[in-house]
Amino acid sequence: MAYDLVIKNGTLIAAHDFFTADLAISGERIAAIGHDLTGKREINARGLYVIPGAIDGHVHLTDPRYAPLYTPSADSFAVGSQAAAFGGVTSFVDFAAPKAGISLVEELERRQEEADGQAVIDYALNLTLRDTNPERIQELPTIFTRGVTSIKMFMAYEGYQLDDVTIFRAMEVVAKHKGLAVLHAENFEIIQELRRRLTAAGKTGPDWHLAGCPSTTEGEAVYRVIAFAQLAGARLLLYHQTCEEGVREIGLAKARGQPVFGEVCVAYLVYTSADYKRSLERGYSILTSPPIREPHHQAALWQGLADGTLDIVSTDHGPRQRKPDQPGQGISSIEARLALVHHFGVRAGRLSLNRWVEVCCTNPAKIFALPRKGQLIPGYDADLVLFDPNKAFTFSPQTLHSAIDFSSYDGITVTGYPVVTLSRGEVLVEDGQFVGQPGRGRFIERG
Amino acid sequence: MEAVARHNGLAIVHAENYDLIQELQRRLAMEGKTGPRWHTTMCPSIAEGEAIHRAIALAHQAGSRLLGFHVSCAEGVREVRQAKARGQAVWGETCPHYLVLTDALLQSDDFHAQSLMVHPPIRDAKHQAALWQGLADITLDIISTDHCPRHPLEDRHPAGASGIETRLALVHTFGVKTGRLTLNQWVDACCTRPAEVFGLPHKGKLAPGYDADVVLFDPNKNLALSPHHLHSPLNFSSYEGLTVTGFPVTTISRGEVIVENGKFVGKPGRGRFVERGY
Repeated sequence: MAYDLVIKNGTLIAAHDFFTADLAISGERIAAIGHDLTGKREINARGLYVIPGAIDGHVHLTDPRYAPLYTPSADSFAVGSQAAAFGGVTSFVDFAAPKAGISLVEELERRQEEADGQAVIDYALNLTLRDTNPERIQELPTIFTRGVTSIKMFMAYEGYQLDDVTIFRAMEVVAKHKGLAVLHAENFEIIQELRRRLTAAGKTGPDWHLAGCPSTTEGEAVYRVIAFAQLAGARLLLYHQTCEEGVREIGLAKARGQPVFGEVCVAYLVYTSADYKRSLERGYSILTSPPIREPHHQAALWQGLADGTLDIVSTDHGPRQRKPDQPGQGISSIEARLALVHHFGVRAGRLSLNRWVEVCCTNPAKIFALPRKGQLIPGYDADLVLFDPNKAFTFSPQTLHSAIDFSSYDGITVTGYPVVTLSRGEVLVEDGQFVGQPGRGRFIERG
Repeated sequence: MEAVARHNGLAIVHAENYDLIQELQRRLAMEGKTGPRWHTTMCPSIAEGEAIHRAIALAHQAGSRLLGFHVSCAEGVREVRQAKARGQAVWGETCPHYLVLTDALLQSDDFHAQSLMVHPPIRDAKHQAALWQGLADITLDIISTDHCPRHPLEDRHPAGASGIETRLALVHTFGVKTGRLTLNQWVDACCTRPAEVFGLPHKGKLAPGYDADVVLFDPNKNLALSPHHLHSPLNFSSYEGLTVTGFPVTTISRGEVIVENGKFVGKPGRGRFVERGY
C-alpha cells in the first residue's frame, strides 16, 4: 500500500536510539517505520536527521493586556508560531494570565480565541494564577476540565507575585487533579531590596541587572517551592533555571524521589553575564529575569542537562519591539532554540544527539502531558523535523521571522539547521518557505 | 544578617515558615482540631526545613555566621549538613526535649501535654533518630534547652519545656549510655562547642589559663527527674517519670565551688556578664 507521505532514508533520532529508516505518514499520524516504504509523496531525507518536532514549553506571544511582562508590537500568535515552525517547532505552551479580579475561565476562553485561527502549529496553555483571592483558587478545577493542566505561578514581580500560602493552596488543587505546578522562583523581597540600593547608587541598566538578582535568591526560592510541592503532593516544574544553586536543589529533590522537573532556557546556555557588558544593544537584547549569569553557572546548567537534573530546554520567548526610552526585558528565541542547542550542545560535545532530542522534543511532551506528541512512534502525531546537521546558518533579523527588528542571537553562526517542518502530516516549511495554511494550529487539550 | 556579618557576629534564627503554619492552624481550628494532639500536624517538618534552608541562603548572601536554634527534624538536619558540606559557616542546635521525648506524649489534652506544645514541635521517633545522628556526625553542634517553663494557669498549662537543670544528665543517659554519643561528643555538644559557637572567652575547655568552670559528674548516680528533686520553683518537670543514670555532684565556677553535697554553697549574684568576641 502507499502511505500519504514517506520520509525516505533519514537518520531517525529518538530519545534513546538512532537508525536509518523510512518513516511513513497516514493522515495526521505516523503510520509506520521500516524500510522500502512507499508513499503518494516521498521526501528524500538521506543525510538528514529525522526527529520529533521540537516543543517549546515556555512562550509569551504578544498580549498588551499582560503588560509589563508582555508588550504590544511584538510577535502575534500568527507571526510567532510561523517563526517557530521555521525553527523546527511543532507545538508550544503559552499562557492565559488573567489579572486579579478576572474570571479564570473567561480569560482562558479569550486567550484561546486570540490564538485560534492565528497559530499555525498546535499550542497548549498554562494558566497563570495572579489572584491571591482564595475564591479564585476555587475556579482552578474548572480550568483542568478545559484541557489546561499546568498552573503557572510567580514568586516575584509586580502584578504577578503570589504569597507562599496562595502558592501552597494552588499546589494542593494541582495535586488533587494530578496536574503540574509551574514556578518562576526568585526571592522578590531580597531582589527589591538590592535593586533599591543599586538604584539609589545610580547603578541601573543591563550592567547591573545581575547584581540585583544574585543566584542565592533563586536557589532559595527553588528550594522553598520544592518544599511546598512536597507538602502539597504536587508535581513541580521549575521554569528557567539559571544557576548552580537551583540545579543543586532540583538534583537533591530528585534524589529524594520527589517529582520535580527543571527547565533551562536557551539564552542561559549561549550567553554569560559578560555579554551584558559587551554592548548596550546586546545587553538589552538579552535582558531577562532571572538574569544570565557567570560562566560557572552556565557550566552547571549544561551539566544538569547532560546528567538528567534538568529536563527540558525552552525559550521564555518574549520579544519586545525596542523603543529607545523603554528598553524592557525579553529574549527572542522561539526560532533559534533547536539549532542553538544542537550547535552549542551536541557539536560542542556537551550533549548526545539523543539527549538533544529528549530535552527539546520528547521531555516537554511528557512533562506537560501533550497527547501523541514528542516521539517517533506509530500512532503519534506526525510532527516532524528534518534537520540538516551540516547546514550553516547565521542569525539576524533578516534571516529570522519574528516581527521585531533585532535578534538576541544576531551574528551567531550555527552549524546544523531545520530544513523541513511537518505538523500532523502536513509540510509547513520547506525550501526556506512557509507553505502551510494560516491558522491551522489547534489547541492541545490535556488531561 | 548584613550588620552581623560586618561586625563578625552570629545570626541566630528560629526557623519555621509561619505563613504556612498559620494556614494549617486556621484549617485545623475550623475542624475543631486544636490542642496538643494536633500540634505537630500544624507545624510540619517540611515547613521547618524550608525556613532553615531560607535562612541558610540569606546568611550566605549576607556573608554572616548562622546558628539554627532548636532544630527538631530530619529536614533541618539535612539542610544544615549540606550547608556545612559546602563550607558555609552554619551551626545547628537541638534541645533535650527533642532528643528524649516524642509526640506520643502529645496525644492527650492534659496539662503535661499542653506544657510540651513548644515551637517547633516535639516530633516522632524518625525525626528524633535524625537529630541523634546529626549530633554524632557533628551536623548539629550544640545541645541547649530553650528552657522556658511556665506556671500552670487555672484552665490550661502554657507551653514551655524545663531543662536547664537536667540537660547534662539527660544527654549522658540517652546519648552516652545508649551508645549514640561518645563521652567526648557529650562534652563537646554540651560544654565545649557552645563556648566556640557563641565566642565565650576562656570557657568550655579543660586547658590551663581557661576559667576553672568545672563539673564533677558521677556516672553511676541515679536520679528521678521529679519536681521535688529539682530546684525550679515550678511544681512540674518536662521529664516527670524519667530516671537518669549519671548526674553532676559538684559544680565549680571560676574556681569557686558553688554546688556540693546536694547544696548550693555559692554567693548569690556572683555571676558575671560574659563579654564576647570572635
